[in-house]
Formats: sequence, structure tokens, C-alpha cells
Amino acid sequence: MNQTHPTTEQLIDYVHGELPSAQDAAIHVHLAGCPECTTAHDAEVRLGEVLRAHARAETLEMPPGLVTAIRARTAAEASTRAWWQRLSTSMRAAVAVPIAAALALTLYFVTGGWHAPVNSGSADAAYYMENHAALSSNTPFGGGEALPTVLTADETQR
Amino acid sequence: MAASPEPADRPSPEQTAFLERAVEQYGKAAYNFAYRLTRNEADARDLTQEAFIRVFRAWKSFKPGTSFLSWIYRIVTNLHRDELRRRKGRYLVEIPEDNEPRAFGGDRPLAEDPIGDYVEGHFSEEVSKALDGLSPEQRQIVVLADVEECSYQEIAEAVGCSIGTVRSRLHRARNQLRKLITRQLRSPL
Repeated sequence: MNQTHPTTEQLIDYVHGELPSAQDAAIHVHLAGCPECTTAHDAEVRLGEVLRAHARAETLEMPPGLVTAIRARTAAEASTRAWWQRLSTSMRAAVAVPIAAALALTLYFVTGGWHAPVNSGSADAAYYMENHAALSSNTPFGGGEALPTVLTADETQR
Repeated sequence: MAASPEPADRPSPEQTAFLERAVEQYGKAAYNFAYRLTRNEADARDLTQEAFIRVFRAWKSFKPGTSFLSWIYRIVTNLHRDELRRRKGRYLVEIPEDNEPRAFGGDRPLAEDPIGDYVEGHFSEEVSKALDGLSPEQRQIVVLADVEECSYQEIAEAVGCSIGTVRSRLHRARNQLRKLITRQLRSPL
């Protein structure tokens, strides 16, 4: 019959109601017919009872000053938080403006300045061609050279 | 004349009332729970104070209708765990989960009940010594499982470990307690 005795670990889980239902039921049946295991089981139950009884007997009052200390800490924390909020509010403009300025400057230098041509590609080719042709025809130094008939791909698509 | 708004440097009346009510109703329980974990009044005091600071900060996260006691126990347990880690300077080493059920017929000594003698007699000092003899991690599990009667699942969530680890630690702690108590019973008083 020794083969069927539950282990101490299983009895501890059983006492705490932490076994799967089938195993729980098997141990329940076993305990009913095994005085040795019942003694071991009772010892586990009693250990829990002793611990709870000890905890009850050992119950302490809150130490004097603890409640006051908690109140003082929470008040101090609320005060610190409010101080930080005021500081951050008052510093918001003082900090935000220089940061914004620094960002703007960085952006300016990184992108080459706002005056850089936004688009120097072929979009203005027709404008250039018309104006340059007009200018060339009017200038005394134009030499009457023929303008290229094709300047850009855009031009060819016109 | 309209009521002036609450000054910014003061907590709201609701927050203050929440804290006052919490301390009044659960301060003693939280302090005793902290003491059971730490076995030290100074540490229990610090732990309790810190726990109520957390309550004050997070008072809005408490869900009405749920157990405040469970909430404050969880806060205390977390703070205690963090404190243990801080003192050790490292994370707790997980105990191997070697709790796979063995074949029936374990090697426990049958028909031996030293605990029973305790229940009938004086036990306070000896149990205190036995609890002091546990590691803080073992004591944490024993207090939660046997004194507070939490489920393994609740303990795992509070302590931040697996259910298997809870099980292993509890088994080891109880075996240790049994040995310590038996040794003290047999030693001359």
C-alpha cells in the first residue's frame, strides 16, 4: 500500500486546496483509510493553524508617529509636486522660446537657408527660353546665334 | 461669492479623505503584514509608510468594489520584494521548479507530528525563531499562503513569479519550518 501514499508536497498542496480535482479526490479517499497519512496531513493543517495563531498573538499596534509621518510625507510630496508644476509652468516660456529659436536656426543651416532655390529644375525652362530668346534678340551682343530648339525634356513634351 | 478653487499645492479633499480612511481602516493590518514579512519593527514601519505614499499617489487607480486590503498587501509585497533585491544588489535567484509530483510513496517520515505539540503548548517564541530562520523569500510565501490564506495564483501575482515557484518555495519553507520547530522542541529550553 506504500505505493499510494501521497508525498508531503502533495499534502501541502492538498491542504491549500491547490491540487487538480482528480488528484484532490484521490488523496481525500486515501486519507480516509490511511492513519499514517492522516497524521501527516493533520500536521500540515496544524502548521498552518500555528502560523495563523502566532500571527494573531503577535499583532502589533501601529507605532506612535507613523500616521503623522505618513501625513507629513504626503503633504511634502504634494507640496514638492506643486512647486515643480509652478516652476515648469513659469519656465515653459523661458525654455521653449530659446529651444524653438535653436531649432529654427538648425533647420535654417541644415537646409541651406530659406533663400535657396526651392526648385531649380526644368520647370522654368519654358520661361527661361522665352525670356532668354527675347533678350538675345534685343541685345546688341547676341550675335544672332540660333537658340537650341530643345532644352529640356519638359520642353519636348509641350 | 464663488468658492475659490483648491490651491495647487494641496491634494484634493477626495485624495486626502481617501488616504485618511485607508490609514485609519487598514494601517494596522498593513503594518502587521509588513512586520510578518520583515520580522523587524523599523523595517515594517518604513515599508508601511512607503506603501501609504504609493496609495496616496495612485489613489485614483483603486477600483471601488475591489478589496483594498488585497491592494495594500500587494503594494507592501512589491515594496518588500524590491527592498530585498536592492539589499542583495541583484535579482532574486529563482528556485528551480522541481515540484513535479513524484510517484506516490514519498520519503516523508510518516506518523510524526511535532507541530501538534505546539498547538497545545506555548509556541510564540519558538515560532518566531522558526520564522526568523526562514529566508525572506520563503517567509514572504509562507505569510501569504498560510497567514493571509492567499491562493498560489494570488501569491504569484503579488510576488511576481510563477505558480511553480510559489509551490516550490512554500514546500521548502514548510519543510524548513517543520525541521526548525522539531529541533527547538527537542533542544533543552
